[in-house]
Amino acid sequence: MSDFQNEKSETGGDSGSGSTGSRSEPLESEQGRTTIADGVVTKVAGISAAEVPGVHELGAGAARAVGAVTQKVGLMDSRTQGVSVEVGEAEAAVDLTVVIDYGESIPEVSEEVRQQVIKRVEGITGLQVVEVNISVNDLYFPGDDEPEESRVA
Amino acid sequence: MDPHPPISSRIAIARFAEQAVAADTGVSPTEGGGRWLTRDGERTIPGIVATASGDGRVEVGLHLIAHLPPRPLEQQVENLRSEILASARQARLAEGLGRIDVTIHDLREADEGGGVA
Repeated sequence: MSDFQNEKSETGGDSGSGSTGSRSEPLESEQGRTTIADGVVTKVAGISAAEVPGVHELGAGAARAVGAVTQKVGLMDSRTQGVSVEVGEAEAAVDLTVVIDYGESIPEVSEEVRQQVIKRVEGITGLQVVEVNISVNDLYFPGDDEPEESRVA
Repeated sequence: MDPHPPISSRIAIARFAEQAVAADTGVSPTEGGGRWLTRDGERTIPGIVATASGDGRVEVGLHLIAHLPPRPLEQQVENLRSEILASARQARLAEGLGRIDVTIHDLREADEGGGVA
């Protein structure tokens, strides 16, 4: 299945209405510096994207298959699947791979995911989100998870 | 033997930081494999690095795990700094307190442990 690439929203631009971001300085004051690890931003972005109605799950096909196994044995956190981030001193860029429920509007769900991720990452970490790139990797059909009936008795 | 030997301002400030972190239910110190700790006599204070700086003040590094559900981290960090400063003031050590740098290493459930890969 071909990917639907819904690329690059610059906060403060036309589609950045959910951004609170006017910050461009690092998270630093006279009292000290605050550093937020990439993993924190990854989890916040993953949790907030998964909250959006119409998002079935995050991750690409192979990653989801491997992730299902590794999660069962406790090697992987489902909150980070399908999310990669780049975090600077004051800014963050987020790349998401999502599976959307069949029947939902992909552009609308994508835009809602983008705004939700910007709002939550900026609100929680204080970093300015400069990009949220969303790749819709698959559609979920109800019944996809059900095992196929055997053709023979 | 004195059960309460006098302690340095560095250790006193490390203890204030430990108390501030322990009182905040939204964070816990990293275990960090022994990378970030302060030795306090026989015990260690995990997740807190207190070091004397060149100007004679004590700089503090807090290495923390934030707990789910996520809350605004900047506010949490400012609260921690304020708590440490208040304790230092009460002990007349505020002038010796330098920067308090904070690193949030991960975001986890509170019962997931404090180790950092």
